[in-house]
Amino acid sequence: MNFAKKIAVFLTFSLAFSCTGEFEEINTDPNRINQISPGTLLNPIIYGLSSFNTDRADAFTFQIMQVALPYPSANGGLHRFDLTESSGNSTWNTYYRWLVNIREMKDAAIHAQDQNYEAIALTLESWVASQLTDSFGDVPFSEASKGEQGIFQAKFDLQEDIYEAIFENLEKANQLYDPSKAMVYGEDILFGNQVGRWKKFTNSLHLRLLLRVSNKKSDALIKMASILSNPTQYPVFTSTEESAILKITGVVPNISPWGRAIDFTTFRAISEFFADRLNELEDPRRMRFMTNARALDGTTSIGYKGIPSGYGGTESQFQFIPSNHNIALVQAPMISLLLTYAEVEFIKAELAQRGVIMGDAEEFYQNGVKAAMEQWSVTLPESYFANSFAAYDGSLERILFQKYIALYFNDYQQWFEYRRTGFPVLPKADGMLNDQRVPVRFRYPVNAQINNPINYQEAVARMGGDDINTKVWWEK
Amino acid sequence: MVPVKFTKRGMLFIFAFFAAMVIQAQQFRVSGVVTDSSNEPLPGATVIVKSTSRGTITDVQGKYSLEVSPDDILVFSFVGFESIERVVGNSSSISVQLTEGLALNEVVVTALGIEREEKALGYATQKIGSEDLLEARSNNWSDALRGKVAGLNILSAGSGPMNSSQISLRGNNSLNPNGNFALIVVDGVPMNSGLTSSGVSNAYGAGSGSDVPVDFGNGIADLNPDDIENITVLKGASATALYGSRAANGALIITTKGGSKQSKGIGVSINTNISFNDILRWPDYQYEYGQGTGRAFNSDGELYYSYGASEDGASTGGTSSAFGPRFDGQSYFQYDPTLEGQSATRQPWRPYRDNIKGFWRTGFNIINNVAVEGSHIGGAVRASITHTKNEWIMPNTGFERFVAALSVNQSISDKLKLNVKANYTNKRSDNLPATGYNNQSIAYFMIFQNPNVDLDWYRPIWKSGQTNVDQVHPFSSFIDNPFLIAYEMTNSVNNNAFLGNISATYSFNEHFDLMVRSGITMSQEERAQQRPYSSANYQRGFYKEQDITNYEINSDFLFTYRGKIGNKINLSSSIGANQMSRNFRMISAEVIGLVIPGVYKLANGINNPTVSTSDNNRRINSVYGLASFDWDEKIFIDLTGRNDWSSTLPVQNNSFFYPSLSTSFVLSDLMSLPKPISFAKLRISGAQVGNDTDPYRTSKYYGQSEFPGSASVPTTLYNVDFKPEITTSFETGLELIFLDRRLSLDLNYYVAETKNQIIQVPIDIVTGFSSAILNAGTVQNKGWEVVLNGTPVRKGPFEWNTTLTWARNRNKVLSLPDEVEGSQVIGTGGNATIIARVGGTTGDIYGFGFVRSPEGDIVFGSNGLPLRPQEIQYIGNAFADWKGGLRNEVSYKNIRMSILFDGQYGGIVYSQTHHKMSEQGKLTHTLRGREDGFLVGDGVVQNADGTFSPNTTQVNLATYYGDYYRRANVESNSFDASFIKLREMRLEYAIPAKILSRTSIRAASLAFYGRDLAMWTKFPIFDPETAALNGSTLLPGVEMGQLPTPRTFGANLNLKF
Repeated sequence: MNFAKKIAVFLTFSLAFSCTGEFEEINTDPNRINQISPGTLLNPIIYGLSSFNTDRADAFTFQIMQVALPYPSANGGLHRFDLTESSGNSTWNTYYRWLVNIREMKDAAIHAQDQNYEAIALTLESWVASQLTDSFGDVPFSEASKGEQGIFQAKFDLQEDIYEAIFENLEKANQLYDPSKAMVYGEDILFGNQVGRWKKFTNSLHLRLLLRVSNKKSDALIKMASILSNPTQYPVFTSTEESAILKITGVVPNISPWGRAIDFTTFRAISEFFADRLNELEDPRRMRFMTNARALDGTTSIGYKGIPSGYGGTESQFQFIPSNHNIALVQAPMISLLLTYAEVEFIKAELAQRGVIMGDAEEFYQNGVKAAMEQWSVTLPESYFANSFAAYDGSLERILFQKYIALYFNDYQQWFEYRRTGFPVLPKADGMLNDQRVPVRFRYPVNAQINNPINYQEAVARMGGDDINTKVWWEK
Repeated sequence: MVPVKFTKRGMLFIFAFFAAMVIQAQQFRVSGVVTDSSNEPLPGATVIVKSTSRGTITDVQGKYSLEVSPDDILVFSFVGFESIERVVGNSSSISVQLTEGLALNEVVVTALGIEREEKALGYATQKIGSEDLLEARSNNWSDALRGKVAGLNILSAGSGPMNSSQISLRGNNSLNPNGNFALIVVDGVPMNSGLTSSGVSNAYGAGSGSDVPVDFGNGIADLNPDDIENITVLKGASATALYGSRAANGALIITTKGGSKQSKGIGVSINTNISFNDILRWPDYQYEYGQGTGRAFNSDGELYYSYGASEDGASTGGTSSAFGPRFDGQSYFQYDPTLEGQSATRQPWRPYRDNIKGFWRTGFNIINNVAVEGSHIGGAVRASITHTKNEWIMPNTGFERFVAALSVNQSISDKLKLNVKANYTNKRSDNLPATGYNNQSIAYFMIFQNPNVDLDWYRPIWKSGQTNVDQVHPFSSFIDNPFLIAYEMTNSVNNNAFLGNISATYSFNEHFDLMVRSGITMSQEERAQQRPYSSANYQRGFYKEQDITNYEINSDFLFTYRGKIGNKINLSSSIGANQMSRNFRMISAEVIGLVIPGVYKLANGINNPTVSTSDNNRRINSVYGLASFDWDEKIFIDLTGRNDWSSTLPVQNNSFFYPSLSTSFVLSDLMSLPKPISFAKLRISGAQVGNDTDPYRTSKYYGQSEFPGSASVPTTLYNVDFKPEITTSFETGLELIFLDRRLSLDLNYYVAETKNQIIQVPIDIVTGFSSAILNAGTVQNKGWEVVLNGTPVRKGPFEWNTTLTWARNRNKVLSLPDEVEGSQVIGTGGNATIIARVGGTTGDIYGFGFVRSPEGDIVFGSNGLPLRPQEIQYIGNAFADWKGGLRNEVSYKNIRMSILFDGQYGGIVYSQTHHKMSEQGKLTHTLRGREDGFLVGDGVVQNADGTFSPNTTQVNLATYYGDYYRRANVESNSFDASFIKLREMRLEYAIPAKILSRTSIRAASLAFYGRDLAMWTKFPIFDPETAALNGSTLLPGVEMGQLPTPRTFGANLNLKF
């Protein structure tokens, strides 16, 4: 039956080979894009990082730095310094996730020969790198984000080296900006495509980070002085208006990081330390930040009153309903702080107080306090500095206490500054674990141990342990 | 020649072409009647000329007629009967009587729908008849396979009426938890058994502000067991090599009923099934102590309670823990539902023992099926309609399903046969329960409910005057009102599915025939999820719609030659090709926040809806060949080869070939064996099967962003250089029948190795990606399967049959990708992580455990709490050591009774529910130490000199339980998953023919049955047979907010006219 055989052969081959030509088309995703412009990744990066940072300010910094605490809190908790092996996981995962986006943005900007986008990418890269290394110590940086090139086990860079790279990037970014050239790839949600403000952000960040390492890096203070003395070449923030503050509008996708706003206030109390110190100052920010405490009847206001962070014993010792967060802080429209003009003024105050720069430390201090209120739409009362707790007393402690309030809700900055300076002096409580010592870093995520054991071990050996009390380079 | 594209039009063309051909030969006609042992005619029996495909089927009177030549041999066969052969010679009339047979000469449907005699097979199969599926019905027919098929495992999340299940055979070959499932083939057309995620990828979602996983069911559950004729389980790659990549994990070949058995014109059968469900088992809830943190004392130093602050002290009514005061007849200020606040006076402090169980109701399920069948000369038709109404045990959940099935087969001439099957299903539900551990799941409520809280307090759902705006949930804002969950947070689905195929077989002559077939499965599903105002995760409500379109077209042909080489060797060889084309599209739109409360429309969103789409398209072209030889029906050899071209693989690697060889030796025919052995057969086979991957993994695509004109770097690293996965397997088996079938044994041993696994590997995010798709790793499975059948008693009308199935599988990871440094995370549920390590298995559960002294005692710290280890450790294995089932059936005249036990030994389950309920003092085991208010942990402390001494530090109860059973302690929250279940029990009475003879009813039976009636296990929550539903993945060994397992009692009435 030759004819039948011929037909079978014909069918077989026509079926098998006629259609493989379409395979490439079939295996092309009709939905997702495979090319980007320098601006494609920018807004997701800004929103992703800012919303995470704001969330962490609440979840972590508030507890460690005695701004607020969970209440009731039977045992454990970050406010008792009960950090677990996974406390740093989200920090690690989020920052590295956006780092690769920033680096791809940088590549796209270089490819498109757009200097402004490149400078923005360099700035954001520096920002994320500093947050990472300040949280963990030595971290992968030079070999990070290179999965596509096949680097699955990145070496951990020394913190000192990471900072060198950061300063180089920021210097380069400042030179790259070209305000005469418009940003054409979509409108950015942070500065609305104002190149000048991005440039000020770059240099303000440069100041923040130089100060952070100033105890270790000998020329940091000199560099800061030269930046501040040359505002034409190195413009920095000069008003709250210009600050890197993301306005969260509530219009999807720019929505509150709190999926459930009640999570911000449920089982929470303001810390006694924060409430009492603001009470001393008769600070007008209290009404913006917190609710009144009430008597047990649930209605009678007893002013602003908190619960001691890290308390031991039972809840029965507190015969009142403590002040809580003001829920409006996390309901859009709201703000998310990246780096503010107030911080720049406090940096100047510190430098002036230490004699690094010329200028009146008290004036910088007062500017800082005023700006720190402005950013929360609070007006500085005329009599504010008449209060002896508020008046500038020439001490670093006074400057750094007001800076602590200014850094309220600004990612981990209160914690980083505390680790650098030891201010403000935080009370201890008998419920605190870790020998009542404030933890100074996160442990590396378990995933890093599992996936990158050799480099992990090397970094741990170099740093002297993977412990919450192991000091990072700039703090040693 | 003009190249013809193999499309549906092309198929029609080819079909028409062959249909037009008429080939005549010089032959004469033979006719006769085929009857069964009681001389009843057998319609639909097959009569074929041996070694050819020429043949016919008998008509309603069992009659046939066929053109033959004198030296032809006729083979008479019928499913369930032993085949008979007759030489034609000069006779023009040949009538035969077929006897019902056991396994050995039975016809089995194998890969590509090729029917083979069981004894010719060189690999293990197991056949399940329709009665096995219908005996003790559940919502999902696949449940009926439990305990009956050696080596089969069913994974399901215990997630509601749909209860999606995934079936695996012979262990998990893949490091990808979704890559282990058997292919399901319905009448030759593969069906999609995958789950489509509701968009939530993690069963653990408490407080994340996200939604919960909902089990909307997968295609498997939609098959109608009333329409299934039988299921052949092809367990290993040798059996399925011809099916190619998708059947690398074995296959279930389902044959649906066709009209053929009816002997008197048109037959009608009616089946009505009613069943009721209650709950199989509850955890041991404690009702001796009420709400409290265990730290709020009054001025007398006693634990007290106060809902809201009162003269008794500060409020203690906000906690979810039950470490409060004992129920001792005292009174406190409590919640008053009429005031929606604190009661005016102190109320008696008492437990409400029904405040969890009372939420559940008796579920019921009604199935009505009507089937009409009939046959005439050369053809048969069957049509059936089935309606199912399910009210599940959770209030306001359930579904309704309507299935219409049609089967037509027709011989147009002696040479041309046509077969059409069509199946339409509509499935709809107003509400399916959410699963997992999250505010919106009822499992979460059951964990958080306190002993002193009356369930009725929640019944109003809305605060007075606040309908649709503010729910009643007076104790913790984290717990949503259970009735709000049931009645307002609905997850609805409406699914229309069509499954059909058309095939034609043309016999050119006695040696050659051609089968062409095209089949389609398609489904269109609309889902909607509503979340009201004031729900914990969506203060202003939420609404989401998903539209899912899914279709798959398979077109294939098979060209077959049958002949003889010499006297003794029969040869059959086939060559064929297949094109599979699959398209999937999902469009999701959602609004977070609604303008008008209670109005669930995308137009009612505070913002514009966010819309996302996802596609999944693929195509596989295949060419394959098969050659079967047998020597005198004593030695059988099958050779197959298949080459696939897959669109999902990189162009340079997209073609892959794999062969198989299987042999069967009928020892009892080849040599003389001791007399008690009636039949013996040895099987040996080996096979390779290749596998492709998911689409769009070979190049980079940026992730969708909701910011306009924006995107983000993908989180999964693509791979430009995949190779196909290859599974190589070997199996050998022995089949023995003793004492004229009073006893039979089927023993099987197999080894399978899968290498070049294509797996999504979690990688350190430092690389920029949280996962990568790699091509590495080898997993080995080997094991034994035993099926033992016996008839201990057969005396007159009394018969006792017993069947034992037993299987053990050993799974071993032989190698892993270099990139993962010897350990690959397979999945994560809560704090339990399933990690594959070289030398370990693909079901090893890791997590934090206790620190132990050299003597094995738990080491406690100076604070009296267990020390926390620095590193995660191996806790146990999610896989059972072995599984088995024992079925006994006793029949006496018209009464038949059967009982099935099944169970597993070994395996562990990590329980999130146990963690949370222990931490909160809700289980009876947390009553220890209540009188004292403190506990001393049983273990040791390490002294300064390194020695150990007993721990003596007293710890507050709540602190102790919270820490000992902390979520991260996978050791203290994992339990032995061994169990024995009384799976099925059934009593059937067939009404005697004498009584029926005066009516038009031909046969009638009434049966009562029960399913999952009892369970023996150490697992403390609902059911150790569980898995976590992570989006579209079922993760074994992890319990994340389980729903109760129903227990079923039912009755079934079957009438045939």
